[in-house]
Amino acid sequence: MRSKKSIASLIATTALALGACTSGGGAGAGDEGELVDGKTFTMALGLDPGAIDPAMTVLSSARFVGQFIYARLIEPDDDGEAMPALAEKWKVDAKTAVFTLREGITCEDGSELTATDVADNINFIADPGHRSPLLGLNVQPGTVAKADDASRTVTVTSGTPDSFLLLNLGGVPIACGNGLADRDLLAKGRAATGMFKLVEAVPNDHYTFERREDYTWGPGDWDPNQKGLPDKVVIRIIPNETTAANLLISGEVNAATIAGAERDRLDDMGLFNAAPLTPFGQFHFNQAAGRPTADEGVRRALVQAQDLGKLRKVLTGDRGSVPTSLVTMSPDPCDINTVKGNIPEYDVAAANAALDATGWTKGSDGIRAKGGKKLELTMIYLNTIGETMAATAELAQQEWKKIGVEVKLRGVDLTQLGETLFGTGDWDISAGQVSAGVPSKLVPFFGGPNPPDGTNFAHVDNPQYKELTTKAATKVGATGCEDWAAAEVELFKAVDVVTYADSGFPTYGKGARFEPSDVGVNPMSIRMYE
Amino acid sequence: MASLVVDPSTPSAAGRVLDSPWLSFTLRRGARFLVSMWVLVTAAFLMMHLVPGDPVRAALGIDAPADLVASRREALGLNDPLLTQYVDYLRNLLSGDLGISMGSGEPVGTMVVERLGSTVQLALLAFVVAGAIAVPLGVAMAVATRAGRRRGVELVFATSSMLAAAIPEFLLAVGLVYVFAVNLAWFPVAGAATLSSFVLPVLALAVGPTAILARIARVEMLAVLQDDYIRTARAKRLPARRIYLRHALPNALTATLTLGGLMLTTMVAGTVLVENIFAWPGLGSRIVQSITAKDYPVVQAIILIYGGLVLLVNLLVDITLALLDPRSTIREA
Repeated sequence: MRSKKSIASLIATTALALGACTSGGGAGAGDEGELVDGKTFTMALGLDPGAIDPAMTVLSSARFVGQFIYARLIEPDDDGEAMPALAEKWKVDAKTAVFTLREGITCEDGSELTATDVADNINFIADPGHRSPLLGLNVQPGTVAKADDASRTVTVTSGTPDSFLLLNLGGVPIACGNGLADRDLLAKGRAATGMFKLVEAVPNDHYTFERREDYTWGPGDWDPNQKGLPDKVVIRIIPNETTAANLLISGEVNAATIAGAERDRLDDMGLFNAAPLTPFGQFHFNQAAGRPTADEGVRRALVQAQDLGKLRKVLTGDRGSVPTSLVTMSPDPCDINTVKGNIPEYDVAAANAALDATGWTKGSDGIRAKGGKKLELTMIYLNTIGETMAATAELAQQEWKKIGVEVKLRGVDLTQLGETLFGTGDWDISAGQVSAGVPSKLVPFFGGPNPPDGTNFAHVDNPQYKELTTKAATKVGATGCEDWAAAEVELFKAVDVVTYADSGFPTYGKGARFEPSDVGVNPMSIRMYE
Repeated sequence: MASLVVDPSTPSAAGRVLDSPWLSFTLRRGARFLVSMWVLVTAAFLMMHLVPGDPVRAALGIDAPADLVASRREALGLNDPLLTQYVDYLRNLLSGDLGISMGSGEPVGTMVVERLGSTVQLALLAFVVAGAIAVPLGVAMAVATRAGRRRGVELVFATSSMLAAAIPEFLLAVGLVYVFAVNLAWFPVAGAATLSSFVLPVLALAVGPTAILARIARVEMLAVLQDDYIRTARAKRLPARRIYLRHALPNALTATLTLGGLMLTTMVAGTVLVENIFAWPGLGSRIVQSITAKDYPVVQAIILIYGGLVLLVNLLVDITLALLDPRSTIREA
């Protein structure tokens, strides 16, 4: 379903930030007729998921497949509020969460899912020896989970205070006990607790799932007897976006995520689509010692030199929207506009003045220099998410040259982006995106240790941000939102990051309707039509 | 009692075999095949290892913990010197071990076995279709336009075949899908689930080679039709069908089939593009995904298979040529 372009973008976004869920809803006419039972929902996915083990992957394609198989303790609603899923109720503060499981939850082999199984899932991630990429994101280091099978309760004590402990812990995909005992089973997508079980896997070709008749623990008041639920799901691996669009038009698949030029064709046909909003246009500045962009004045000048509205138009083909926060994706429990009025405005004269003030003066060739060293910067951008990214980078490069900054562009793929940001550190400006579903997940990127010990790849050292996030972390859920928002504002004020464009990556549907999830389609929301 | 008289000037049976131009030919071709395979294996290894990007990072995700990446690299031997990796790779290859996919964790050998059939099926079917259409068409055109007859037919044939040969497989495939799958819905857009799934990919692969082969068949047939023995056959008032099919066709086919065989190699290579457009479950679609994911073992194995197939076809063409025209073999010897 997911094209290479959108996968790359979403990986860039969600793998960096591991947001929980995206927001957005259905759009488009898509006259689908009557709801019908017993159908097969077929979807095109751009990348093979590889190993599916839900505790050991952050790849969006693996998480997409995994969400069909592994249920979570809670599911967020459209407003970011938790709904019962595996857990029927919970009690939570910033340090402790007690989940009570629903009665009668079964695994795909018919055995019971116990509280001990759930605790083992969390403890596995919490154990640093297992090197789970969910450690520090969904589960904080030092977390301990204890189970009481008799009362079906799991008590989790977080290693560090976590404002959004409920959403973070509740978002852990839970596998059955036999999978925990033999993780090869999980890599193959077995030991299901979710709505579907994997019955056939042909890597890089297709994956077939059957709906579990015993699955009754859908989010909230989800009804297993409602009309339109698919009996089977087939995920076809279709890397070529044009092929995916053709399959959708011909009715051979019911859903495909289309990010590129094919969108026009599908929009013209009036197909239904669900388009989660994701961050698309951002600038990050390398503040490591010795880098020109470590100087706030230089960063400010670089942003003032850009007409961000113009960049947004080029980048998104005029389909994008002005961001309101770095947290764009569901559950987004705060929903506060932190961007407006806090990003330096387009002002070339001010940009020149700012650079003059920092000691970078223009030479005879028009390029600024200080102490005999020219102001030459390297900007990296993903060259795998469409041609507009390169065009935007070139436009930005031209504007920077006008204020005497020579910027060398380097298009990289996702792997190289990761290596550069977290490995070599040889960059000055990055157009890669960072976002999250809750503000606490941004902290490792803007307030945590630098690589290789952490993921603060830009070497951001913003004391106000740290102070405010520390304060916010002591408050539970939405009660800390004002502090989280204030912390994010500090990042913009210090020009540690700039966000200028959000864009939707629509999943189009034909013969089916669904709600978006952070990685494509929410399995529980799929309804088939005649 | 008869006595065995050995004439020293007459070579023994073993000597005759050793002196045989066929043995020399076979050894020469075999050695060339092996050297080509070694070059291929080495090139595939170097290409994948010298391109920038960490395959482990690609497999584990952009923000996988650094120590996890490091330990996985260690386990896969990627921290060893390149020469050590190369020697290990050759050793495993010789023992039939193609490795494990870094992305899916599946044995590469199993994957190749599962997918090779689909690719070979597609290429062979396209080859058969091309041959079945091109040879009769070329022969018919030669007969119809021999000695400057039917200039209009010749013009239409020459123009249309040139156009068909000039369309890249990729564009043709996209066009075929748009017309016959999306708009007319006669065939599936992609996949290999039914027999009708074969039609469009096979056409996309076969149209270009069919046009080229038909032109060659026509030219060859025209040349044969001007030979003296054909004139003699006509003078004897043999039936036209007998002249064309019995006397002319076999001689015209030699070069056509040789070039047709070589064309099979381009069809094998063409499957990479066509499989990607039709999401065909073969090696061609897999190699593109694996290159993107920097899945070394899979890419190396598929390059090896594709290259091996091309070399094998070339070898078979050489042998066929030698069988059809032994003098060339002897001359070369």
